[in-house]
Amino acid sequence: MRNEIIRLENVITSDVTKTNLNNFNLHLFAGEILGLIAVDEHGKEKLLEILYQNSSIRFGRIYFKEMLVNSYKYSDNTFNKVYILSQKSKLIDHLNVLDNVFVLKRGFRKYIINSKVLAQQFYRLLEESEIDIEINPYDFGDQLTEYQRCVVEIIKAVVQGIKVIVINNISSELSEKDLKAFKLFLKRLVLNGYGVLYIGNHHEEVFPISDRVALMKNGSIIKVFEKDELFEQNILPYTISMDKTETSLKRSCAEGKILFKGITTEYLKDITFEVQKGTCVVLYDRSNKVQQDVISCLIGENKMNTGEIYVETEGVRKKIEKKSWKHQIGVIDENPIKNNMYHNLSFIDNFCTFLDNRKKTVYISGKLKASIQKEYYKELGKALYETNLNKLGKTDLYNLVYYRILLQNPKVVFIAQPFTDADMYLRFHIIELIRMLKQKEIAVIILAFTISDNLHIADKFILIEEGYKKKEFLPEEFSDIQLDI
Amino acid sequence: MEDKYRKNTLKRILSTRGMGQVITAAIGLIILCIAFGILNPAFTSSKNVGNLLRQIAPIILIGIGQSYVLITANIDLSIGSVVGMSCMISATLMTKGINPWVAVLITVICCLMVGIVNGVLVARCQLPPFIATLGTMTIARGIAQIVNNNYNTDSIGNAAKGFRDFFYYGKFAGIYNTVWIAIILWIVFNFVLSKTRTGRHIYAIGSNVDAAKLSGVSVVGTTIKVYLISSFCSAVVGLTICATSGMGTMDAGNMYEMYAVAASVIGGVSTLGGQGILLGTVVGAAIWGVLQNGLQFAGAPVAIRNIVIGVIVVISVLLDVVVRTGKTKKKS
Repeated sequence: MRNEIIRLENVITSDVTKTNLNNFNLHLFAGEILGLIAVDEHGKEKLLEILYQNSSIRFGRIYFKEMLVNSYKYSDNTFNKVYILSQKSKLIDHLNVLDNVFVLKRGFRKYIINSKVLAQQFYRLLEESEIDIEINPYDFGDQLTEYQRCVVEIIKAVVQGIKVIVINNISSELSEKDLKAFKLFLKRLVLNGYGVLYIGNHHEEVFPISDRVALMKNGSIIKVFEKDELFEQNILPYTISMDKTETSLKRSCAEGKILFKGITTEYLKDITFEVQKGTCVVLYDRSNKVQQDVISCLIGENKMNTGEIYVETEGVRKKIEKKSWKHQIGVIDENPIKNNMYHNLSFIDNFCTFLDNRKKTVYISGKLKASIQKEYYKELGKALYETNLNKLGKTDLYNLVYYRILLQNPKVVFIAQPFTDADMYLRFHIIELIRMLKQKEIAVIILAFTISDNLHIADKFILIEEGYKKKEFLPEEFSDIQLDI
Repeated sequence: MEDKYRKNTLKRILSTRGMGQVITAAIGLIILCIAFGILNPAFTSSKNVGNLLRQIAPIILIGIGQSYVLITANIDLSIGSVVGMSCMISATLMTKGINPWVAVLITVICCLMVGIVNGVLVARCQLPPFIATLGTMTIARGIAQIVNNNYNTDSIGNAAKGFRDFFYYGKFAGIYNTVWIAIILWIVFNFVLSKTRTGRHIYAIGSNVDAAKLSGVSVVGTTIKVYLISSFCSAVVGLTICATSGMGTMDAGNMYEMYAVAASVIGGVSTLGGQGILLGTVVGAAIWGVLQNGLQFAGAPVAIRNIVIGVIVVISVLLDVVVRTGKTKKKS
């Protein structure tokens, strides 16, 4: 008989303006990995909250190990034995692994700390988990790799006596190789009676690891797939197609190209490639190093050691000088809503951030802003007049990020992991936005360490390993790329 | 099971986070001592070294308190005023004929009250620490003034000889008691910070308060503790000043909060929280003391001394910020 760890029955939650979870039902058994694919983000945050803490719900019941812990009648705000592993570290950067795992634990009794004893316990735990990873227990939280951080957090959860581990969209933090090893670790973990709720946005990522998969939409579970139903064709009716609907520019017809010649940075080594205007190149690096490396060069944090960037139009090659990078190269960082926004400014002020690239003026008049609002109203709608960005949805905010690039009008735009944290609808929208940039003849370079979705918009795929360009794939060769997550 | 990552004691000490800054500061201190010794040989005389240590001891004490607070990513601006309050309350009580040790006890309790108020305002009421302690700074200074009707006290007299010997004039093993007090308190508070659960909680709060809360750390309780320690150290310094001058002066401890910040920051305690060791505070206080003393020996006017110390503090903070922001991001 399977032991149930957590059960959510007909749960309805709401905040002031909207219902989050709507008649939500979920069972998680000991020793299983339950996948959860959120078609949209609706209610996901609330779900994580009520799994962790018994905060008030409008209707329904929540059972933990078959004990009623929360219901519409009574919520006591106590904590459940649930650990949520997410992109944001819960480790203390300035304390070592031992302190993080053992000392910062509810109920740690010892007042004087003996690191030697704790280290022995840590080694024992690591050995029991049978994971092939080297972790120095004396390393500080900020010295760990993302993979090590995830493993340490799980060990911390185990030490705390946690029964349910929620993995919330960590694929964007781990390289492909690490993600694979981490999944193996989780599979071994559940054999010891833990329950894992694995939340991801891509069925390609969630299906292989899960025993069952629940599909969540509008705050409800719309379908649960059993193990023998975990095939791509079963989920297709619930998803939206991201196949090309555009009449993409043919590579041979596009006028001009951007040439990157002999680029050497801290990580990249003598990389040469070209991207034609209106096309998209994916620079794919499994180890997740190229993204940070390139972005830090572009924004001036690091220097490019050697290499040059040229624009070639009608056979005439012109170098893009470093001082004009700001005007000719656009950058969209990973998670741009967080990293590329000024949340204290209005939509239009954010929108006009790069306008000085085109208008050599320090003052952007109200008249000019009004003119821009009028010009873009058809595409961006009422959001253009919004003064508080927090009132806008993710779609509007992504519109702001990508249309702002359009206004900047660079020759080439670098986009880091564009689909991070995006649900299915948002991913579709981002694809549309990137296609829009391509149609405006802007060259797009995506810096990626996961493959999913990038192939829908790529015209060329460049595999980078250890800083060197290993192979280039053209669309007709994309099927040769191993999708292994 | 073999602990292959465990280093030997020396390597472990050297690899302590923040030790790099302490070693750098210590090298700077040695260079300063050599330079001042060359400029004026009297600087290295045993008499001056004894006096210098006595000068540095109070700065170490207030530096310890401020370091605790800074590591939690807060600040305590009330330190100087609590020093003044301690000096005035103890002196006033002694001049009224109260037993000096009872007066000491009452003084310490009064000063600890300020620490509790600081901790509650910052942690419980969520007031910005700068504003909260600015308020208590003014209040404490007001108390220091009001306690003897806006006058400095008379001499605390011969009845307090034991008190004066204990805090200032007495010697043990050839070293002044003031220095011993600083050494003993440093050992105790260093142990608490580096070897105990409370110490880890202090670092955790300063490094990532949200993660600390999720790990079950009592942020309010720990913050109150660090402000209590800060106030306790200030109270001891106030008592030392009272013992030194033999009377209560209303402006005692004026600007001491800044000296405390300077000692901490020069010694590598981060103003951004989560980082720093008390050994650094000792070095920082020593640099401050050596600069004051050495520049005086070199005949530099007060203004120049202040400028030099100010520049060193700014450079120290700048180094901290550069080290933090320039640190290589997480290994991929």
